[in-house]
Amino acid sequence: MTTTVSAPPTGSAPQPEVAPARRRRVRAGTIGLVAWLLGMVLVPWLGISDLWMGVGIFAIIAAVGALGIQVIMGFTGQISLGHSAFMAIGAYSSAWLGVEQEQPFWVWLPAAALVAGLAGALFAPIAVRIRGLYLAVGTIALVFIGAYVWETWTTVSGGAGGRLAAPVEINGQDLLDGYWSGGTQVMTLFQAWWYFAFAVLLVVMVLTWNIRRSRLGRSMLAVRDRDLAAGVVGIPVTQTKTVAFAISSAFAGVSGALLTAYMGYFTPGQWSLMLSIDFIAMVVIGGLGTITGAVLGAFFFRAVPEVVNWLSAYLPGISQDAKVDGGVTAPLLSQFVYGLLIVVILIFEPRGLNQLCRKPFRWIQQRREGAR
Amino acid sequence: MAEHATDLLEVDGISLSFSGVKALDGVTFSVREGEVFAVIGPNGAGKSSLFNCISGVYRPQAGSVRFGGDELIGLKPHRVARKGIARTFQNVEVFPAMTVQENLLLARDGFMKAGPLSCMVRIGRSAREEREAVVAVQRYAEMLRIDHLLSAPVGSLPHGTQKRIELARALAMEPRLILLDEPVAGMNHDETSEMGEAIRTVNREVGVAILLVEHDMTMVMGISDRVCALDFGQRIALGTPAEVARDALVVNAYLGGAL
Repeated sequence: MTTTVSAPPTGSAPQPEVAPARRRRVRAGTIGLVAWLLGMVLVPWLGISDLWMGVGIFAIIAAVGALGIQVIMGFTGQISLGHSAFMAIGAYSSAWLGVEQEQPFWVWLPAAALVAGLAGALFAPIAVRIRGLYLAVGTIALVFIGAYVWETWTTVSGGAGGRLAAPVEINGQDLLDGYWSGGTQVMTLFQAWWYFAFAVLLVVMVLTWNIRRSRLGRSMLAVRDRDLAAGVVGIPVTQTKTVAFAISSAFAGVSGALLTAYMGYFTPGQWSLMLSIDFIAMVVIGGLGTITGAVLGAFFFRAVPEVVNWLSAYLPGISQDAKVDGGVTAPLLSQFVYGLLIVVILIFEPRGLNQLCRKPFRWIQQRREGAR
Repeated sequence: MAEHATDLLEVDGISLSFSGVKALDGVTFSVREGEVFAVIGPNGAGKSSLFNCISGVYRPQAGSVRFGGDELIGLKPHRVARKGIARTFQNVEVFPAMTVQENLLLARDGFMKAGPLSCMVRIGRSAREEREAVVAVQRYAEMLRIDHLLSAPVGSLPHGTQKRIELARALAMEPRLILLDEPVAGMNHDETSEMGEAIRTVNREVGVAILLVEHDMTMVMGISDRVCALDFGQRIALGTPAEVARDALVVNAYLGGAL
């Protein structure tokens, strides 16, 4: 009476020795990280034009928000389209503290994280009950509720006309005037802001990295991949999702506060659904579930439209502005090329830029091992 | 094996139906501390439903499940797990994107107290707990001979190995009872005997009770202390492997009423 189920030929051939190859890859990663850090520190002194420095600063600020999306979507597998609403919460709380209450940035920046994080935790009880597309639609509601609140609550938002953002003051100097010492300008506005935004990004990156390699990150990944099995292993699924929402919103809040502080002035109109979608696009292009992916995605997203825009000046048949009758304008072409580029990247490497960048290294490594 | 003094798990008259189909119908049995207890039965007899009721995935309409005297019905899966019941699945439920070590570390979550903020800055408690967990996990990896694979991503490993990882993960929770849902399903002869050996080792060395659902009769009869047979959601036999194998109802259930 043996009723043994016959074995389906599942699984691939055994691959027993994986450890050494992995160790080498980690080292290549370290080299990449050090090179990137050095590069980021040197960039402000390479004589790059203000336009490109500005693009870079926007990218750094976007990377902070993208790391937030990475936590909720990449690690925990929950689609959130409410990111722009949490950015707005961070922006308004920082502006109120920084302008009305005249608090320094080391008060309003953490406060932006705290308030947005709390808002995320408040929304979480609703969000953990719905999944997939329903969650996506549910989080859209946040954007519209936010839009209504910002336009109505004019004492805080300044109404449709907008309001002043919190200033970043270091030694009593507003960074938007650059950094001065003894009557001479040590750093321009762009150099000073680059370092400030980069410092914040580094902190958020380290926090995210610690999440990934601690019990918190493991629980998130378990909930993302198999929430049923996660529960049976002893992972509190609802609690994990709630924490992920709070952290993701807190990062969004920091990004929103930074963004507005850099712009100096902001309006309720900019916290649109499109902004949320931008962030999802960043992590998808960069590579879901990785820190590198979020940063690469943010830089790609901010820089590529500008690059295409700039290149189009050298292409024949492209007019630089819309005045000329009906022709293809640079911004228009930029959008087409940009969209095309995203499609091509995702067809070529669905795991995003992060994996795409590793490909040549892996190829070299294989060639080396083959030669031996 | 250990003295069978107390009943660790008491399943008392649980019934579960899915829109009229009775998956479980008043099933009663109990598992003693430290024993290997097998549940057998043809496909659709209700074995997996039984596991899902115990581990909190399904909620039965009637009956009770007590573990060490505490009622389990109504608890969420992670609460059941934290009470000391670990589980493996019929279709291996490992986390393929994570390494073997991370899969095992997940099981140590119940032993870690560091909150989200502590994890994010990783100083003090969080760092210490992570180090302790890595040490704890090493022991179970060695016991199931997967310690050389700790840094490999689970998704790249063969099916039989994944099943061992799942068992190691269950052990790393330091449970008092492990539910094994068809631990040798889809395995070849060598892998099966290796797994049977591993289950026995685990039972002997750690002293954990094992509740097992399995189709492979050779293995069930070889490693179990007691066997319970289910058919159409009802218990039809309970006793030592030899008793159950002789039972007329069991033979009928497997070979059909025509005999």
